[in-house]
Amino acid sequence: MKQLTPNQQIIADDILRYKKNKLAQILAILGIVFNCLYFCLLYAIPDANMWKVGLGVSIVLTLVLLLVVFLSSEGVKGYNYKFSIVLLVVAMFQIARIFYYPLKGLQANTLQGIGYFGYYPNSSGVFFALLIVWLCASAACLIASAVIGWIYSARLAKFQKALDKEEISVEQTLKEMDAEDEANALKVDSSVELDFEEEK
Amino acid sequence: MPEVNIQHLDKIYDNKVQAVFDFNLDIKDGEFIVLVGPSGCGKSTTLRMVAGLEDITEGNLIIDGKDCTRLPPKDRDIAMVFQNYALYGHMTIYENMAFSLTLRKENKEVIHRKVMAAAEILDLKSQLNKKPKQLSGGQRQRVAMGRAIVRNPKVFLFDEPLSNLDAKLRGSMRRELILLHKKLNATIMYVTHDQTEALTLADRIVCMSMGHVQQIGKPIELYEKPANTFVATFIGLPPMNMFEGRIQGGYFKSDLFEYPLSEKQIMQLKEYEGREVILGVRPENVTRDGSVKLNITNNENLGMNTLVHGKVGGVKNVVCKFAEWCNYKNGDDINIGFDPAMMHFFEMPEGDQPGKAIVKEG
Repeated sequence: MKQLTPNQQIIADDILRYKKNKLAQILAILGIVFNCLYFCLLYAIPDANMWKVGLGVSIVLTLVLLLVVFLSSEGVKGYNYKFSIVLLVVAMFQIARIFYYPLKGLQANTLQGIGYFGYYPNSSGVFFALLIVWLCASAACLIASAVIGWIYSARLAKFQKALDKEEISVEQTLKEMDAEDEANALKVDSSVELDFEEEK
Repeated sequence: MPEVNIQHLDKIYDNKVQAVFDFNLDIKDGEFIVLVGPSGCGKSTTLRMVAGLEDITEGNLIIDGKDCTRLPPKDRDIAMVFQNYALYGHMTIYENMAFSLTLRKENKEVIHRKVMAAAEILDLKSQLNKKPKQLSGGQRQRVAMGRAIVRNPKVFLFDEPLSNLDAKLRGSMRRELILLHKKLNATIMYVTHDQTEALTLADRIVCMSMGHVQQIGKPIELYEKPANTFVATFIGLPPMNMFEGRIQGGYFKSDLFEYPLSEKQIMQLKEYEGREVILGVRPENVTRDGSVKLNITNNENLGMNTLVHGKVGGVKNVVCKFAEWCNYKNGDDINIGFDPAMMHFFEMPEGDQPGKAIVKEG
């Protein structure tokens, strides 16, 4: 990775003040997408004994989870580190869910006639394995979003603090960089002239 | 900043309507050119041809020595600012200003430095995180200018950028534009139908009517030495008073009044003796010590001066601008005269062509 000069580092940090953390946001949204794939597959289970009160609880839980993750995606987009914590908690919850229906189902291996958007896995093993994959993917995205959100928000907070304390000045940095550029341009000009004289 | 050469430019639309006739203009490095004229005179079409948004039917466009006549807009290295700002509503001001550079896949650091430099010039630094809808019209227009500035183009094109603003804001934006031009020393082509903008902003004005260039010159030249009756009546507010008449025996004789000419005017109008001409006098050059009787119909006190509207001979509407507070009543009769140094004479119009200027004393 390219090593930044102190001035370049200041500029890179200053850019955070004007650009949203879209990477963290996209990862959180991806977490939602994988969660959707998970519950679409889960609710396709036709076992009447399995879905009683649990079905209602599961739906409410899913809706709350979708809402929380969506709000958190907006939060991390705006460099609010608190939402990174929320995303981490949700990610932990997704991981915990692996050990409930999917893993139990995988171990029991008893499911028959599962429908999933017209796709019928031949064995219940594949079905439950897919559930685990979607939950793992969702958790991974949420953790990545939380970590990235945390890192950038911490960086921005540190930069803002330094700005407030007047330890650094963006204006001064920009001026210094402009002066450096001018000096470099002059160097190039004079070297061109020197080459020209040598040729003569 | 480069020079722009526009040679024999014509624009004929598919329906055979010709919008621009033989437009010629050499724009010097760092010059502020204003195209002015009434709606439909072809000024915006000319600008859009320079921008590459309209095909050039005939003629050549040379920017910085390079023939750009058939080049697509993106290869001309020009930036255009529109009347309606054309900002992206879902983007922040920073993102709007950085957009063209982001499309070019410029380095983030370079983009940031350019955006910050433009924001500094335009005093937009505190607005960079806002969305366009959160800004006033003037600020939005500054963002549109900022978007042009970050590109560092060879030529800036402005298409009536201040038309959407209220009168007060337009005044302050005009001053900002002048300062911006000084700071950037940019080559600018600016289209407006507002003569005040044209007179205050331009190094040179191109006055157009019905697709034809009527006069190119410095603002003071267009004001003091209009080339024809169109320029004379278009530039100046209120417009110049025009009287049809003829030169006869040292007098300008119309059906409504006779006015004595100075020795110099008699000499200069010698070859027009007995011929029909048009006399033009600006309202501010009307004096209150002449032989022409004016019947007052309206008196507008503007504080520092007074606009007096009236009729000469009961028919011809005349506007006078007196540099003091006047309290005339409707129906009052006063005698007016004309400052001999500021009397303009024009030939009679021929067909659609405005009457050409003959001579002006001074």
